[in-house]
Amino acid sequence: MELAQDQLGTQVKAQVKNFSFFYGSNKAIKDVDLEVLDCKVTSMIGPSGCGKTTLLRCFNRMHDLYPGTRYEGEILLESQNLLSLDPIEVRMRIGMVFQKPNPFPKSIFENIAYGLRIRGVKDKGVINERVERALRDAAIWDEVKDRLKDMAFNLSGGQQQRLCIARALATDPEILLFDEPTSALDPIATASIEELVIGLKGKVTILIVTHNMQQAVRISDYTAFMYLGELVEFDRTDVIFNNAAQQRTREYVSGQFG
Amino acid sequence: MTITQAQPSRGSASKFSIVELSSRLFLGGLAIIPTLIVLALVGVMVYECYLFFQEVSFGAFFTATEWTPQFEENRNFGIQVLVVSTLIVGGIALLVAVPLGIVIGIYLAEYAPSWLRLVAKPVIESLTGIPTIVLGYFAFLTITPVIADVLLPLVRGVLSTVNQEFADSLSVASSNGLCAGLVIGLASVPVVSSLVEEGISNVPRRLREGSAALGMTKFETLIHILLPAAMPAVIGAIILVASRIFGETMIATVAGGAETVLRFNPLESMSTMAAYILNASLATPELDSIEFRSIFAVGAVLFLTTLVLNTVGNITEAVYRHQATASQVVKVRVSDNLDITVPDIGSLIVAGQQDGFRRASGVRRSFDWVFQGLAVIALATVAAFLLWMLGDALLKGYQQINWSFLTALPSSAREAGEAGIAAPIMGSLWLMGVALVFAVPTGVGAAVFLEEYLPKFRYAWSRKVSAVIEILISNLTAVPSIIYGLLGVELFVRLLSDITRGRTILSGGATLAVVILPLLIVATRSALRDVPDSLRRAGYAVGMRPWQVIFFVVVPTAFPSIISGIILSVSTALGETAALVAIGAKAFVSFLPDNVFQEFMALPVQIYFWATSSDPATQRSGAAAIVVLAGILLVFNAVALLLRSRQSKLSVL
Repeated sequence: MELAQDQLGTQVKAQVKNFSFFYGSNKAIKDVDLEVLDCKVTSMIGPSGCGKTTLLRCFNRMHDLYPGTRYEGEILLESQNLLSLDPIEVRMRIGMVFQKPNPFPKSIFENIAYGLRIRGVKDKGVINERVERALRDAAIWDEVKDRLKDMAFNLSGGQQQRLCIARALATDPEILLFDEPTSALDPIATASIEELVIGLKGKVTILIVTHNMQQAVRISDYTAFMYLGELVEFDRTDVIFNNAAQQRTREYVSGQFG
Repeated sequence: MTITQAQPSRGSASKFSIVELSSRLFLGGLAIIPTLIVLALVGVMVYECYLFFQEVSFGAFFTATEWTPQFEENRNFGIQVLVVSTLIVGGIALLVAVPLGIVIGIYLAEYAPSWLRLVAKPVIESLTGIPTIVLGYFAFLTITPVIADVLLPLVRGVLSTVNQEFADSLSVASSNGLCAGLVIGLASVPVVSSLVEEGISNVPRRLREGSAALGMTKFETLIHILLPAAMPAVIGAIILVASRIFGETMIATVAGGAETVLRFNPLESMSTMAAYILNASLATPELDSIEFRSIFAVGAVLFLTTLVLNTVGNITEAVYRHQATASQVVKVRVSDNLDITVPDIGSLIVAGQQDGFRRASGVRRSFDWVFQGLAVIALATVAAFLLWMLGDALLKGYQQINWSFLTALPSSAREAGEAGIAAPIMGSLWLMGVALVFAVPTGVGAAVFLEEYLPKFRYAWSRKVSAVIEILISNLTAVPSIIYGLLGVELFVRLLSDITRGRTILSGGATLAVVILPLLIVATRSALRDVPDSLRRAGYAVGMRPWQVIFFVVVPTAFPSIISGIILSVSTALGETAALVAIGAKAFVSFLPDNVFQEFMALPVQIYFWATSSDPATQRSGAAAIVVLAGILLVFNAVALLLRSRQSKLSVL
């Protein structure tokens, strides 16, 4: 779906072109076209089972971990079709934060440093510095700076989720994917995560799946509405929520179904 | 009016009913039995050792370098002779079982395509269902000749270029520690692999996804995330398999030999502790002779070894768990994981150097391929071993199998080729019957109490008692069956001889019941644990009492799994050889048993006698008996598998 003229000047970071995805013979994503703009927050909304998480997980080739899945069409990352790249390479460039916090059973420090080490960073000074920067960017530095060697499990749910964000940020991803990052958190932790996402605007391209429409309004610049595996409408967030072109979008955002 | 009528029936729902109370007492009584077995084991060992050490000094026992209990003069009881042999054979077995098992377990959990897992898992795990006497037969009659005739010349050829003298000095005894160790190790692979696979599979999927999302290869995820998280399972597997290996009796006896000489060369005959117990029991020494007591002294050492290993295993696991969750005392150093296989891609640091990334992930990916290659080789080795063994027995034995082989008495013909296995088959069936009568009610009842009552009592002690009993039972499952054989000799053959009349079917069956009881309890408990709690709550919600919930809801739901556990225990009992040799199964009985107070033969024991005979025709009869035994076990296992798969379908509904 082509966007109107108002984002002239902002670059397209990723472009989904005539893209479909299959679980076995079941076509879960149907011929989607979508543009993700650089350093903006794009949210994907829609009722359960509409394929928004499935589409999100296509961006970092998560489906390649499981047998019986198939992609069709293109997802261009800048000019490369990421579906024809090595999935490991794709995941090195595109980070992800999951629905439930999933810190590794390691110390707080190691959780962040892990991704750096695997990318070949050996210099301790560099690692320390980038771990600190990532923790600061994820707004959790002050809470954990004195106990970096504690196990990550000992953090609260909201802290764990911010740690996972820091883990993803540490490797300088080109795009950061969020899969309902606050659905397992309480309202206060949710607010801190949302604040964090807003703070990341302008630094990294963010694609976020959310079940919570208010959240999409609060944090995203653009919103895509999906229904039954199709992309119904994609536009600026205020347009989607106030002045959507499609009947189904208007019904969904006004709470009439879903 | 209606209200007052309803009142009494509500009021009668007081805290206890007669049925409830008697159900608790009865099941609780059954649940004491495993503890009694532990006490009996310890008691028997302490008693016999006390008498043994009246005659042999402690110092001599630990320092003497000879083991010659059979000599009239100059008897020596130097336990280190047996300990060294056990460590050599066990060490070889561990070197085989642990690496193969870990690699196969990881491969099946993480890499194997689902069709391969579907085929490979039952194939590998069927190794655990094969009676060890069958493996011993195969090791002794097939593998040792291969080592002696094929491998030895090869090794000699290679070594002669270096040291001619040393190469010439190499020779392989017909029974040797190497072969016993290799086969024990191969047979133990599934123990390690299934525990490792379970441990790895239990690591939550979100950790795998989290690691993958950072751009990790499977192998990196495995090394840095999955293995550390599954470490308790891996350590537990290694310790469990070690205690199994040290207690393994039949393979060690048949393939490892009986020479009790202090030696370090695994190419020579060496008797492990378990093998000594078996060989000495075969000679049926007089009760209360020093030879008889020496059996118990060795048994006590073996028993202690397994106890210590098992306890260390439990503690290691607990400590590791504690560390993984402890809030303060975490000693993870920042640089801890640096030394673990991080390929050198130092020049690439951040995103944007795309060509570099592609190259790097190629290098890093190669670890995945190397690992998969190794795993497939490991898997193929174990599968080839299994197929070779079954094919070998089938080829050697199938001509022998006909109606008269199955129905003739062994002693009715002196010609080895015409011997039949009617008496051993009937003997085994009688033994099974007796063992089931004792073990099933006890095992199932105890499991119900331990799972459904004890942990749910509101007493402060009940959880602690429950934990203690858990440890006791896990120790009981690790005790080598030959030790249970010794217990049976002391308890059923000797102490209760007025009831059992000595070395009879009743004694043998009761001993087998003791062998399978811990297995039954473990299987039944896990079956009960699989019953969802929502069913129990539903029962309570309609006003059932605990005993009603247990007997009308929980046990019926778990029934197929319980039955499948019973069948698997029976097949263990059917293949059990060592304990029956200790009790005194006969090599010849000229009649079919018709009551439990008679002497008996048993199918696996018969295989043992035939396999160790020097006459090739008799050895072929052994192969034929193996085919028959394997056929029976195959049917049992298939039925158990079928029941379990039906159960899992039910639970999906």
